[in-house]
Amino acid sequence: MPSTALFIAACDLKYLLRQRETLLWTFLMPALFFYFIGTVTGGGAMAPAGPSKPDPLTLELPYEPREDDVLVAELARRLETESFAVTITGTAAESGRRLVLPPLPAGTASWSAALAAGTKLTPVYHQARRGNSAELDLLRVGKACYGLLLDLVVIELEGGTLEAASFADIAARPRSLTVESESAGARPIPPSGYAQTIPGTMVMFTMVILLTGGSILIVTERREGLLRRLASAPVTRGSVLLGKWLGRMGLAVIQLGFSMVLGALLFGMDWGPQLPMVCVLLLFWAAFNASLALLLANLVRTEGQMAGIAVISSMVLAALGGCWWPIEIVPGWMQSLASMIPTGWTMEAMHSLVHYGHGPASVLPNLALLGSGALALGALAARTFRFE
Amino acid sequence: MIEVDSLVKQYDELVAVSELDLVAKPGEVFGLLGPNGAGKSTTISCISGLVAPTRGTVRVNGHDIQREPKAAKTGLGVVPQDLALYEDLSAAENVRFWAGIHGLGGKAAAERAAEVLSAVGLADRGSEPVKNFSGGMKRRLNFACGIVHRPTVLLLDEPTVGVDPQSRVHLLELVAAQRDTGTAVLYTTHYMEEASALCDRLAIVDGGKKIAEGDLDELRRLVGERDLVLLGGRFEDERLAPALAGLADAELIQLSPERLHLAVADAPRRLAEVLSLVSASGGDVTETTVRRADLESLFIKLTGRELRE
Ligand SMILES: Nc1ncnc2c1ncn2[C@@H]1O[C@H](COP(=O)(O)OP(=O)(O)O)[C@@H](O)[C@H]1O
Ligand SMILES: [Mg+2]
Repeated sequence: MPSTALFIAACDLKYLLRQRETLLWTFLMPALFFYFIGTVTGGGAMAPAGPSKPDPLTLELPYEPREDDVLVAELARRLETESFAVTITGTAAESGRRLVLPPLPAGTASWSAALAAGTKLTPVYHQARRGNSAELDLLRVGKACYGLLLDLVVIELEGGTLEAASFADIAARPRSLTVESESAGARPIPPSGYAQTIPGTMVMFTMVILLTGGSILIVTERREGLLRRLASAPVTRGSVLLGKWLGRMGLAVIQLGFSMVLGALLFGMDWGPQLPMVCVLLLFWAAFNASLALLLANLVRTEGQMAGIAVISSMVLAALGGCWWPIEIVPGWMQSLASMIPTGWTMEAMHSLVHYGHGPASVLPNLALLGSGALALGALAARTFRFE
Repeated sequence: MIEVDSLVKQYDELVAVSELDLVAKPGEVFGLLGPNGAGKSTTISCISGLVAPTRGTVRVNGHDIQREPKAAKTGLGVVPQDLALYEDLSAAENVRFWAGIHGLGGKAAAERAAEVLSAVGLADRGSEPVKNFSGGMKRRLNFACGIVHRPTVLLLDEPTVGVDPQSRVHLLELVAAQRDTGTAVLYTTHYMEEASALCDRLAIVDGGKKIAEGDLDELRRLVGERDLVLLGGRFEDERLAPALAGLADAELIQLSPERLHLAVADAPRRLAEVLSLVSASGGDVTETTVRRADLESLFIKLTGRELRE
């Protein structure tokens, strides 16, 4: 029995790999999709690893910078601690992050002098960008300013003078109050660019290829009386089904394997330390689609119907399951929907293993869902299979 | 060896095959002759195990096709009525596929494929995709796929439909060659000429029922020594029937307002006598056909209809 099944699988695979459509979707389209969509949505296979380069910031004075400007020097130092690259200037900057000190009262030469004389200083922060990272910038600027204010209060209370030594003195003292903080976990950054597009495209195309080429071959074989002829040969129904299933598995493995290698070699995709589990996951995904391909081929009458169902179902499931964009960016109800469909199970597990670097155990529920789906659809396919 | 016992196949109300018995022995071509819809393909489907009979049994080489399908199918070759070929594959790949399905692999399969392709006259076209082939070439390839595993029982379902005369002659020779190697062949056709040229024994079927069986001589004797006279025109029952009863060495087969079929000994010479009797009894003849005693005339005699209606 297994030898007949293997023979049928090998013949089907060979036949499918000679079809122009299969070649197109297995080898050419993934490369194009990785390149175009991956690049447009941000490129770079891996997520940025936090603020590595200091962000530029201009500290704008209403006068030319001076050596003896203790206050400005301390403010700049505190901003640099917040990992800004500070440029101090006496002329108005055009754009970017700007912290602007207001004009001096008459008769003073610097804000150090004006402050010592009792003038109230209100620096103004300007920033063109908006969004998460801009809010973080504002927070960091505020931290620098309030830190400086506290030091000034202490110097004032202790009757000290506004000079570099006073700031150094305060910085050197043991703190009467310290706040210890520890990380509550990294804020997850959704995958973008190649990290999203490569797994998404791979998962989508498995379905596209198996439901078009893989199913249509069976529909054609039935219409042309080839399955009928097979029924008069000494082969069991079981080995015919197993052979058809294995042939489609083979095609999926070739498609997924090629895409993984292509992603790694040409697009810098790092499949990470969970690579073996990634492969297991993709095998389960392939199995699910091989079963689905067999089942659908039994339910349709014509190749045209099959092609229509294949295109619509793979596009809809791909979009809803998070193959086209990270599922984190869609509304909550769509995220819940994704957790109920097979593309969603697969994409979630892919990102968990590859992008977030979680362990193999994190995807066991997803494997269980895909595996039982593959078995259930396979059983249905076996029941509905007909030779004519 | 094929043994069919009281085979019945019913599709809802429609009885496609009714109480059919037949035996095809090794080294013989058993013909199943009948018009479209007679139940020939259904019979083949039951024998090859594709369709479960409603009643009755089928044994192939002694194995019940329903109870021991694998053993029964091992020696079975089928050439279906509708072409069953992979159009995108080459002729050789098609043949090798069916060889592989029957467990023939590698070099043995390639050699056997070359052998059958050359037998069906496609040796030099083996590497061409089937979609480029003519109807006759496809029919011959269809045959090649059915015999690649050297079956001992061969089912042929109208294998010559729609082919050019040369391919037809070639196919009939191929069937005879199979028989000569000891294969039991069941051959269905609605061509009377093929049945009489090829078949050692045959059954005439109509409406799912066997209406006659025997070798050619036995069947010819059923028609009798008489020829058929088929008249078209307008005829009156009351006056004609008694008049025709008086006609010597003749028999009335069918009489309707438009048709009159008679079996008449030595008809070509007695045609004038028949025609004058008919017109004397009020018949109006517009069309006359004389058919010498053959299977076609037997079919008409048995059913009142022509084979190719
Ligand atoms: N699957 C089927 N369902 C219903 N009726 C069928 C089926 N197959 C054949 N028939 C009917 O059975 C009768 C015999 O058909 P068939 O065996 O194909 O005849 P033949 O091969 O002699 O032309 C026909 O009336 C046909 O319409
Ligand atoms: Mg038929």
